[in-house]
Amino acid sequence: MREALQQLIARRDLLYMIVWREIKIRYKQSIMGFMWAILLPSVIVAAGIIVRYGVSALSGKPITGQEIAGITVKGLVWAFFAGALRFSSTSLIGNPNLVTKIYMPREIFPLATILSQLLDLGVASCLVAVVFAFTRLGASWQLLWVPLLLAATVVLATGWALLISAACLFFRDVKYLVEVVITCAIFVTPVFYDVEMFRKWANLLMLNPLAPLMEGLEKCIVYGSPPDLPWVAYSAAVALVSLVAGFHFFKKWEPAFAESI
Amino acid sequence: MAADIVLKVESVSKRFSRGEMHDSLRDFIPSLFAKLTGRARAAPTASKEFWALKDVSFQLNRGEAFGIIGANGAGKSTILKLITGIMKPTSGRIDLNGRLSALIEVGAGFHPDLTGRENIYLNGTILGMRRAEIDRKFDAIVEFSGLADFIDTPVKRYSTGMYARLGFSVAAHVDPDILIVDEVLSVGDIVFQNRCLEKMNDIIRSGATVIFVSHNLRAIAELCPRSILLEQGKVTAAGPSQEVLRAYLERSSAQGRLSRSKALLVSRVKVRNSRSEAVSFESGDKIWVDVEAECSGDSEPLSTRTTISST
Repeated sequence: MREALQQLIARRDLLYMIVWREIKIRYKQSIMGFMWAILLPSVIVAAGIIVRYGVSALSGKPITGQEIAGITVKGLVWAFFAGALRFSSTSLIGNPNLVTKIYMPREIFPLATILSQLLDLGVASCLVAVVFAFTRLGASWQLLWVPLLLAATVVLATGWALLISAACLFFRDVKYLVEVVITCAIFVTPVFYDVEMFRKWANLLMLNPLAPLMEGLEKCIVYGSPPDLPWVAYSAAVALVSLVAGFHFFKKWEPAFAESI
Repeated sequence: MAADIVLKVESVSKRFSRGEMHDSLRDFIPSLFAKLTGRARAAPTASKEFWALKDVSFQLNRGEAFGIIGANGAGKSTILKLITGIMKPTSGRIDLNGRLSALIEVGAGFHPDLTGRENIYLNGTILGMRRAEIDRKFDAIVEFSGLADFIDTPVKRYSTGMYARLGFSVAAHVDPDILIVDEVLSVGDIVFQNRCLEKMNDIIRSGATVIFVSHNLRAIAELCPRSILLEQGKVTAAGPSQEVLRAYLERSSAQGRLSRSKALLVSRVKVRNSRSEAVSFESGDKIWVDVEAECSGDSEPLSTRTTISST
């Protein structure tokens, strides 16, 4: 494991170039360019606002600027997470030439997927700025939690991406499975709603490791209050376990990649 | 491992499973159930296995140029993939000592939508260079490829030859301790092929170790003092290249195709030059073909035909 990490660090330039290639290719032939990075999360956010609007119309409570800002934050994080898992499934099988013809630490491919999605997230966060300007929300010291919460999200995504990319290499239909799970997961992840809405079921929803991170980000960015620390610790632990397990699984099966792809 | 041995391959074998493997969960899970409940029909696994390499051993000293020859499917590419670490051997050991650059397929890792310049950086880092190193060598790489005018054109508009030239140029500038070259000289025009041979000679002279796999027997004979011959995954000849090449040619010409009719029994075919020793020819050379045959008495009139084709 240590040796694997050293190899990976030695090849960091390759990681950089693969990320650069992914971004370059994605935007080279599309007229919209970086607008894509904003468009997709915007669609999720818009869908969330429509759902929330419907709920507020039913309950008679008007929708607030904070709610809209909260949906924007969570929609962006969701777009990152879903994109990371979705694209990691093709990260290895989309590069058959590199897997079968040249040796390199193959975890570079799923890692590059994560990094390029992270870059998209960075571009898309200008949406948050726009929403904040409209709703006149301010900043607070609680924003200092954001890097930690984002890091836990990235670690969680990386662990699963490693697992998914390797699994897709051996079983092509894992890709469709991932697609189905992502589609369904938006219902059990507090993207369009807050877990508090479910009162006594809230804790059950928080078992989803992504939920405490999303709720935490919403709280510290929009409401200026600290995240729910025990739950964040739980998510961070799940994220670390996922990363170690994912990396281990990936490295264990890596020698068989070239002949199974 | 002794200091001057850069590569040691010790009784390496590689097994592949022939036939279709499960590549979807849809097939895998039912078969897993069948196995668990003991209803699986015992598949004749032995017949599905296939040994691409069987007990292959050789070692290379620092600065040596080494050839690997053999017919298609003899296991040449497999041994290279094992050496580079792309695959793991089923049994045996491979010890490697130094930075390795492999040219198993030129331009593997090129992206068609990126320009020549961008692909030099991409492919260079894929082959193990740092970006700063490529910055330094960039001009030399472009110069060697002779593609300065097209360096900002996407490589999808390149011809196959241009593609290969750029690929070879990048790989030749990695400055590896060990360079593995598989069948690259078969592309590009004659001028570029010669330039490649020259460059490989330079690399050998600079003290690097080169493993060269090719059907271009002439190039092997010129570049590599020592070779092995692989046949169906086994080393069947090893030693000075001239001898190994001769063994290869004799075997490949003597195999199977000698006699198809009972009336005529061809016992020996030999291709040679006037002194009976050439293994490869250049245009302008005289080629002698000796054919020994016996014909059994009461047969129809015989006619002979000789075909020469190049590989």
